[in-house]
Amino acid sequence: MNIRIKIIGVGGAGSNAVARLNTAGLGHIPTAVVNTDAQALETCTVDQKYLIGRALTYGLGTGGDPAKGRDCAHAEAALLKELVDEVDLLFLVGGLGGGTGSGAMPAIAQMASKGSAIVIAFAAMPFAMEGGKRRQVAEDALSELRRHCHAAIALPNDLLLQQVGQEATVLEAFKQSDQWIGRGIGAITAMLLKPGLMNLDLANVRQALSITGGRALFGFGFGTGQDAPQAALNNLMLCPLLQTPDLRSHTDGLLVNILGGPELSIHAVNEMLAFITEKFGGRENVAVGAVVDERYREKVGVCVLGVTDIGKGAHHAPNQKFITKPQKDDDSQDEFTFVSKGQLRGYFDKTERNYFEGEDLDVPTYLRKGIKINF
Amino acid sequence: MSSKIIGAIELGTHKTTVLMGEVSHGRSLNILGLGKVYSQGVKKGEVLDYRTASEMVHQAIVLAEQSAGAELERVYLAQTGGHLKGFRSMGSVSVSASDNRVSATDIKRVTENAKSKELSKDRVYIHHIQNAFLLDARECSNPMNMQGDKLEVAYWSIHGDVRKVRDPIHIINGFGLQVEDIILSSIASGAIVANETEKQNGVLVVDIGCGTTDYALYKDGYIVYTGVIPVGGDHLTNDLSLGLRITHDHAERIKLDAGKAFIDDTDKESPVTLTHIKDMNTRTVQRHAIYQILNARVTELFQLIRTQLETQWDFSHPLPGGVILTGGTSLLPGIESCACTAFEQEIRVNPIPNWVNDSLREPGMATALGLLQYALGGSTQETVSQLEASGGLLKRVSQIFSGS
Repeated sequence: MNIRIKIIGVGGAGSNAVARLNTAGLGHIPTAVVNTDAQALETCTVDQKYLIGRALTYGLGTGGDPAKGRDCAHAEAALLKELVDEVDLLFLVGGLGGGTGSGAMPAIAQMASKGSAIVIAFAAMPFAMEGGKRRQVAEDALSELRRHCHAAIALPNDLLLQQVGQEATVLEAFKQSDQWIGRGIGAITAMLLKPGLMNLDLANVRQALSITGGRALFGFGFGTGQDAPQAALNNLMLCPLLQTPDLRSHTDGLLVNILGGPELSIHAVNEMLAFITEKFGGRENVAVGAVVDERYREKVGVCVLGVTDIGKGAHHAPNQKFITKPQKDDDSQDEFTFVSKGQLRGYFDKTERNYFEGEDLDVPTYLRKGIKINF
Repeated sequence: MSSKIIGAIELGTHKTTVLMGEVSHGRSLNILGLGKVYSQGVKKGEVLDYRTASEMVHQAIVLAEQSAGAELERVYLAQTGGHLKGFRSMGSVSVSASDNRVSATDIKRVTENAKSKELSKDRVYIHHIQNAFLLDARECSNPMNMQGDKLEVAYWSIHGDVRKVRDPIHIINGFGLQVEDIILSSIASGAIVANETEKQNGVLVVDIGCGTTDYALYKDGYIVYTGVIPVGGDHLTNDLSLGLRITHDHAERIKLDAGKAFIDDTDKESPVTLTHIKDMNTRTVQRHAIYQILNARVTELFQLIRTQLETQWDFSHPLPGGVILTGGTSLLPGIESCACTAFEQEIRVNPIPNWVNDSLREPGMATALGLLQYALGGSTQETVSQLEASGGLLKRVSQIFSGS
């Protein structure tokens, strides 16, 4: 049976991201975009385009109001349900902080997850310089999204800005963000579609991501050369999305995909896995895929997607391990279970937020001010 | 009473300090004992873990009592935390007597008028700091018996979250000790690092600790503005930890060994080796990256303070007493240059007076030393009279505890 995968971009940022993804070589996955802004849709290069909420906004967009975005999605419930119907794995892509992405994306996620689909959302979070209101809207939308998705991956634009040069244009910065989305979708789909040493099926993915409402951890590493697996792991630990002061943080469900050339040995995969499970836990569920690709000679790519239960509204999956790893019992690590990855507050994660004129002072200054660190 | 022994307690983010001292015949200050314990369960100046904090305060008290060979009875407590807020209020009355001479009653009325603002249930006043009186818009420090129609007075009032003020008092009361008074950390530090002349001329005291930065601006001998920014050395460490992707402990070490808050061109190309990273090959980072991260944070911190004070002082003009930096984080190399750029003022770091024993003259001790100085030298000092003695802590505490 073929796995039905779909990518839907929601709102302006989501549409742009999906439009750019198309050119990144993922063309075989059906894509669609949904927006409230007719003019933006007009110029979008994706084939399947849907204007929602015409009766509410006259195709003029939501004006940054997430409630309007949500209403638009509910107004077109029939259309959207059809769009997500009979999809096994749905990727939602959008930017949070505005109206359509923040409002419609959670609504669509809800519709899809009520069906049979596994929903993974990539949400670009606004720059700190965009101000406190947008940030608040984005954070509210993110927690809404977490409730309805199997994994909601926040991509903080501030962090991604660190990856481009000081002289990079805005377009380049957004491209960077799209690249992360593209690689994430690529890795997850490859895991399911390509033949490999260890294959994963949808049930495995569903099981690993069975905790809804949690925070998602997401990161990549890539290595080449003689010791490509080690290089990939080193690179993974430097992934900006995994920035964490204390790498002992644990996830409750973990999806690992390792991509390598024909020379990739099961031994190397095991070693990598041991490292990753030690770093990121996944005490309940670890699902592993290892994919072999001719083009990956002497290269290794690794992708991790984990979900951390943050308590509220979450339900636990039965204890079931797909690959049983010898896991050390370490009680001292338990208290770190809730430490998040993408939250950028690190050491201060569990303390009250330190808002001062709309900025959280616990977040490193260089990130908020967009100062590029060369190291 | 010829001598009294008093304790100063600072429940800091980095360490908990108990300093014991006595004043003989109301004159010289003797420091008798010190107890210092590294803190746990405190972040950004606030107690997160009550029991751990309680244990370490106890330990510090025991250490101090042992080194002093005396017992503590009454203590003064330093207060910090992002929950503290201040506001300026004015009181105004017409002089009542027919000859227009200001009477004691007028002074009482005007001060009460200025302090009449009611706080919401969960807030409690820490200090009412009296500033100059204005008699028909003329400034005077004591208007008693002077002639005029309209008497006004300004107050800088500081208030905090009841629960957060209560926690450390509870802890100390738990050991059978009475908290005589709570003093804002910035005011305590100001009492030791700035002298009366500087306070008269105008000086800014900035105490950069581990969890918070406490500052106080003095003008004409009065404290006209105080503030707490819940950002300190821990933030520098956290920024490094996130920026360089290393553990918190490792970042702390890098900060202490290789940290600098100011960037100059000579620093560009020399790499620092990051060792002790488990499971990873040894990495190097450019010194420049470390400096950039620290400089961004420290500059922002000073800018925030400057912005807050803009209503009180135009920083494009020199502040006669300059800016005094103290607190543990003021030991960071380059912080002086960074402050100089941000404030455009003369900067001095940690000018603790000579009479203090060398071993205690470190910037991290400023608050505890100042607290003791304040408590003991209290009655002889001008600034103290500005802090309302009205019922002292007892009254406030009853307010604090009745709210629960």
